[in-house]
Amino acid sequence: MTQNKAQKNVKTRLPGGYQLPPFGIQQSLAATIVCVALWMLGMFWLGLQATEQWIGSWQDDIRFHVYLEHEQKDQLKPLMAKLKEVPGVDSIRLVQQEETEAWLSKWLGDSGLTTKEMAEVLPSVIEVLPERNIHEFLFTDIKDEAALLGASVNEEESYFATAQSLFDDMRLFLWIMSALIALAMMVIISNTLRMIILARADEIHLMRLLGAQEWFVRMPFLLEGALIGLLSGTLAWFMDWCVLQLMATWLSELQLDMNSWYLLPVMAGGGVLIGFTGAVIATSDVKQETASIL
Amino acid sequence: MISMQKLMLRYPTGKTALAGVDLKVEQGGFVYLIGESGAGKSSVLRTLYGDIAPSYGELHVQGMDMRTITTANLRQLRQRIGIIFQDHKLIFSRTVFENVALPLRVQGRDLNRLLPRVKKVLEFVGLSEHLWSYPEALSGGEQQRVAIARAMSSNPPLILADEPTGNLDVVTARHILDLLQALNKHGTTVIIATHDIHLLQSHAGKIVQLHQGAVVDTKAS
Repeated sequence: MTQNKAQKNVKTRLPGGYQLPPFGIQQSLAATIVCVALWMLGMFWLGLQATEQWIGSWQDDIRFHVYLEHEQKDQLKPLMAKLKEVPGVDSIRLVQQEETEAWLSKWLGDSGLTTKEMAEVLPSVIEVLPERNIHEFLFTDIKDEAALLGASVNEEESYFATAQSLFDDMRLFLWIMSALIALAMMVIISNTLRMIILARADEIHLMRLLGAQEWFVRMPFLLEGALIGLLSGTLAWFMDWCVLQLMATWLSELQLDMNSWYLLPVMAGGGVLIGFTGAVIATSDVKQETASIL
Repeated sequence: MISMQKLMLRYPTGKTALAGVDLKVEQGGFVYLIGESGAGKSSVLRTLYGDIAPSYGELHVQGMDMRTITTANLRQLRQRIGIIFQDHKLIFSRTVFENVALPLRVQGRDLNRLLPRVKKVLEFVGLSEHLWSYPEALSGGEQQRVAIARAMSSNPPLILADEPTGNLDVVTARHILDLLQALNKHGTTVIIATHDIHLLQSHAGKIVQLHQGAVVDTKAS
């Protein structure tokens, strides 16, 4: 009876195999650090998603306009041919005079005669539609080709191309940062587990002396690493989700429809992968330190 | 069961621990290894369970050649040897049950059968009431009995005991040897490295005297 009472008060934790070691302060600290890092990383990716949506909203409207004065009208066809050959140009279109008139009419309040006269003296306009991914020299290429045949371009439209290029750089930067943070988190989990393994070196040595197989000795630490990663990744995603909820009104004003759910499997799965790899590194070191005749 | 011929052991530091030991132990034997500190008693035991590899000579334990043994075979061999360490090597963060059940768990025994087996061996060593205690709550003699219970829990045919009565009073030491002899009567081969010469008179066995890493005398007590 007394023993049963005692048993109830003591939680049986047989070491080795699929049993997880006790979760202590070191593991909690590692999980917190990894969680904060993953949370920040998640926020950056969500920020990129927002930027992508924002850029996407006007990306389809990106056009470059090349202007050719009336006196050089004979250069129109060669210029159009040249512009079509510029790498990164999807299509070109000559803006018809009627279209210009309609545009002027809209802005000048239906004064038909005035718009017709104005449209006749305005330069010919070639509308250049770029491909989806605008490369950084496209605008310069168009400008050069136009200048060769005496045409000019609207300089302000180059900002669109610059914004696209910055966005691509930002995406590359985020990928590199994600890889570096993943590596750093792996090292943190690995070092935490290494400390725990060193603290339990006698226990590990004893298990080996009793004939334990390698997987039996290592499995608890591998599971622990994966669990730290899973907890951190899931919690980090939850924190990202909370931030999105707090910003919901502002985001809807910007007409941004943010989806954080796609990050859940990425962050939880990524956390598991980081933790597991860190544990593999930690346990591979311990094998060399405590192996005897083996 | 155990056969040693011209067994030599030299540590990486250059110290020669065993200098040509010849020894044979039959199944069911009860053997004392005696000698001064540094005579090579612990080294003999460590070579028997493969903690260190001999430098030269022949060593066969339960039919396995310890100089050419594979990793898998060594694990199997260790599962058939019960080891009692001088410092117990009990895991103090775990209960008596968890400590004693460790060899059974390592061998992948059915978890549901661990408790009855552990209870039985603890009853044998007289510690059944301490099943859920932690080792630090036990006396030195009780801790040593837990170590014996752990060594015998998987019912191995060979038990190696390194100074099992070290730091224990005479009465407790005798009780420990009573337990080991009781195991021997059930057919288990027991090899004990000890300093306590007075115990040899009360508990009969084959005495192997070591001096500077070599066997200098073999007799029955």
